[in-house]
Amino acid sequence: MISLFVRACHPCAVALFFLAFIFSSASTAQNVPSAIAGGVSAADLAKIQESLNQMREFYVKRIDALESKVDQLQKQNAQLNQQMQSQTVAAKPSVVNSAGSAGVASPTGSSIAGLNGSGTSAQSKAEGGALSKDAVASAAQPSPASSAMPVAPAPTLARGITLPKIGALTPEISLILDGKYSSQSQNPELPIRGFLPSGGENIPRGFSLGESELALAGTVDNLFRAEARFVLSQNENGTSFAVEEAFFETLGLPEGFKLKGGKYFSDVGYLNNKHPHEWDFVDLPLAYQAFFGGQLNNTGVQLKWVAPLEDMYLRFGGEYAQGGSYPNSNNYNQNKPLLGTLFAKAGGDVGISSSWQGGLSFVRAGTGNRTRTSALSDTESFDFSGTTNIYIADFVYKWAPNGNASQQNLKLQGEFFWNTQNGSGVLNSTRPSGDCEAACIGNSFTNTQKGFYAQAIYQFMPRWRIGYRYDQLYSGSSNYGFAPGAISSATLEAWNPNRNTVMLDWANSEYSMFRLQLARDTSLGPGLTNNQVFLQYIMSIGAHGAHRY
Amino acid sequence: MKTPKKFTAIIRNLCIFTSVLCASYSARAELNIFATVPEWGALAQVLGGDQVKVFVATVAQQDPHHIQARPSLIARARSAKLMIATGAELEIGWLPIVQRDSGNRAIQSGQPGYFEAAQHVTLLDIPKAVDRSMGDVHAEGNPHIQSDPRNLLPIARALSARMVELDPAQAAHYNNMLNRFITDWDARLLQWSERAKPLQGVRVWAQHDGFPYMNAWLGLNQIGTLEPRPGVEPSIAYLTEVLQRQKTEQGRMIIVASYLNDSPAKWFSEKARIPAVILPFTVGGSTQAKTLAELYDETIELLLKALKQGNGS
Repeated sequence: MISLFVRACHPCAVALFFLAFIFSSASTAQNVPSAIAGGVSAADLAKIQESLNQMREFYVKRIDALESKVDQLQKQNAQLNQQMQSQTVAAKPSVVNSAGSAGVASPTGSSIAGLNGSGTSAQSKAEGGALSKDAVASAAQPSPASSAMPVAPAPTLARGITLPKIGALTPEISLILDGKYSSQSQNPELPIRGFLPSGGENIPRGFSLGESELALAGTVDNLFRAEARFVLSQNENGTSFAVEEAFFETLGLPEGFKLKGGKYFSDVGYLNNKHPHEWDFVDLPLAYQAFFGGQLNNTGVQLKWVAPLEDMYLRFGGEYAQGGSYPNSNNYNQNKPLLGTLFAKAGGDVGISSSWQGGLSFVRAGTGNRTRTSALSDTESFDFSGTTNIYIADFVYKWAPNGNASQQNLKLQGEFFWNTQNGSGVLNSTRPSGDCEAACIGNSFTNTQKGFYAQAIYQFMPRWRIGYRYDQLYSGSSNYGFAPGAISSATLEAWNPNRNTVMLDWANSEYSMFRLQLARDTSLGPGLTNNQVFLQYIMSIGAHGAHRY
Repeated sequence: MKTPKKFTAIIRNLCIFTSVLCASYSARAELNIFATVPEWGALAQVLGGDQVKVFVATVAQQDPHHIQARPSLIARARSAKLMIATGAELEIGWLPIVQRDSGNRAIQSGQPGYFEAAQHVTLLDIPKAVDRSMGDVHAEGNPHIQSDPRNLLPIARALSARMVELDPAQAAHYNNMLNRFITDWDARLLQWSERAKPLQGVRVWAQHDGFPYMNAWLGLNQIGTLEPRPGVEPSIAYLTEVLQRQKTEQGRMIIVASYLNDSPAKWFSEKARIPAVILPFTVGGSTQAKTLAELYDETIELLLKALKQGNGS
C-alpha cells in the first residue's frame, strides 16, 4: 500500500512520512515521562495518554481521508490518461481541495494542506498558459497535464520553499525609449559662455531620438549583483553605441560596507546617479553641463558604508576611478587613476508626510601628463593641465499627504556646485596676429566658478505634474591668465548666465510619459538668449527596476 | 583576518566617541525587525512580545505598491536582523533598493533574515499571462493576503519558526507566544465566521481588486471592480458603464481600501444608491482597527452595517 502511495502521489508520500514520524515520536514520548516522572502524578500520565490516543485517532482519520483521496485521484488519473490517448482536449480539472481550507486546521493539518497547495501552485505557475481556461486562479486544483504524467510530479519540499519559476534565472531586462521634438531660437551647439567647453551633449532642434537604454540586471550569486546599461543614441544622422554602466556590487560585506566595481554613474550630488528617464526635466541643470559635461560617469571602484544609526540615515563613500573624460583628460592606458571622489549623505523623515536627504560631495580630477584640450572656436583651442576640485552640496525634500504619493506629492530639490581649476593653460591659435601667434605657453591660473539650481515638482492630481527650475552659473574671473584680448573668441569671457524652465508632464502609467517643457536660457552669451520648447516621450518595456530616492 | 577586526575596533571606538548617535550600535538583546506593512509588524509584535523591536516601513494610509526607498528606510534596514515582506511582487518597486543600499547582508533575499509572508499561503488570482496593458497585475498572484485572517495562521507558524532560527536563545518564549496566538486566533476565527454569516453570497463591487482573500473568507460575491485595470483610476465614462451593469448585477455595496482615493466609490455609491464601505485593509487603517484582531472585527462590522443600510433603504 505504501509503495503504491509513493508511486501515485509523491507529496502524499512526504505527508505520510511526516505522519509516521509524528507517530513514532508520539510513541517514544509515552516513555519519556517516566524518565522525568519525579513530579508527575499518575493522573497526569493518564491525561497525556488520553490526549495521545486522541491525536492517534485524529491522524488515523486523516490517513483514511487521504487514502480515499488518493484512490479518487488515481481514478481520475486513469480517466484522463484514456482521454489523452483518445486525443481529446483536456477537460476541466475537478476541484479536490477548496483553496481557503489551508491554515485553519492543526499545525500538521495545515502543513499537509501546504504540501498539496504549494505543489500545485508551483505547477500552475510553471505551466502558465498551456492549461485550459479554468485552471488559472485557484491553486489547489491539480492540473490535468501533470496528473496525467506517469511519473510523480516534481516535489516541493515544504511550504515556504517554492521551486524557481521558469525564467527566474534570466536577468531583469528593460528597454527605455526616449524621443523629443524641440524648437529653439539659438543653435544649441554653441558653448556655454564663460566656461571651458566640457563636451556635454545638447538636444538638437527638430525631431531627435534621445537615449534608447537597454538595461540588464540580476544577482550573480549570494555575494554579488551585476547590472549593465547600454545606450543607443542619435549622433547627428548616425547612431552611437555606448556602455553607460556595467558594474558589479557586493551584497554580503559585513558591517554595512558595499563595494562596487566597473563603469557606473558616480554617487556624488543628488541627480548624478539618476538615469535620463528619472529626470524631472528634459535636460540636466546647467551646473551639471558646465562642470561635469553631463553626469560624472567613470570606470573604477566605489566603497560605501551606512552608519548603524536607526533614526537617521548617514552614509559615507568614496570612489577611485580612471578618469577619462571631462573634468579629467584622456587617461586611457595609464597606471595611475586620476579621478577621486568622497561623499557623505544624511537623511530622514519628518513625520509621516515628509522625508529629506542632504549631501556633501568632493570631486578631484587631474589631467596627469596629458593635457585636456577644449576647442574654443574653429581657430582656437585651450589646453589645460592641472587639477579640478569640485564641491557639491545637495538637498532634496519630498512631501505627500500622509506619505501617500499616488494622489498629490511635492518634491523640492537643489544643488550647489563650487568648482576650482588649478593649473596652467596653453592657447593654440591659428590667428596670424596678436599676442599669441603660435601658442601662449604655461600661463598658470586659478579660477573659481560656481553654479546652482533649485527646482520644485508638484503632482497636483494622479498622472499630472508641473515643475519649475531655476539655474544660475557664475563664471568667475575670465581670461585664464591671459592678457585681455589674447583670446579672440568670446567663449571664455566672464558671464553669469541663468535659465528659467517650466514643465508639465502626463504619465499614463509608470511606464509611459509625455512632457512639455519651456525654457529661457541665457547661457550661450549676451544677446544669445535661447527660447526653447521641448516635447518628449519616454516609454519603458520589460522589467522596471525600483527607483532610488 | 586582522583587518576586519581592526575595522570593527575602529568603528566601535568611533561609536564610543559619538555614543549619543551610535547608541543603537551596541549589542541589543532584542530581535530587530523591519516589517514592510503594518499587518506583519503587528503580527511580529504579537509573536515576539518584549523580545522584539519592530519597525514598520509604511502606515495604513500609504499605498504599499508605491513607496519610496526613503533614506529613513535604508537606515532602519541597516540594523535589522529580520525583514518581513509580503512578497508576491507587492514591494517590488522599492524594497530591492532598500535591501541593497542598506549594506546589511542578513536581510538579502535568500537569507534567513528575509521573510516573505506570501510564500506560506496559497495565492489567488495567479494570471495566466502577464501583460502591462492589463494594468498593475502581479505575476505571482494577488498579494493582498492579509484580508483573510485564516492566512495568518500558517504565516504566524512560519514567522515564529524564523524568529526561533534567528534568536534560538528565546525559542521557548517564541513558541509560547505562538501557541497563545494560535489558541486565540482559532477562537476568533470561529466567532468571526459565526458573526459574518449574513454576508454569505452578498454581491459586492470592489474599487480595486484588493480583497479576493477576504471574499473567499466571508463568502462575498465580488461582481467586478470599478477600476478598468488594476491600479488605474476609473474615468467617469468607465464608471457609467459599470453603473449600467449594476442595473442587472444588483451589487449590494462597494468595498474600498482606506489607503485609496475613494472618490470613484463615493460617486458610484451616490449614483447607484448603494453604500460605499471604506475598509481598514490593514492595522491602523481606521481608528477602530488598532490591532490585528480589531482589524477583522471592524471589517466584519462595517460590512454588516452596510448590508443593513442597504436593506433599510
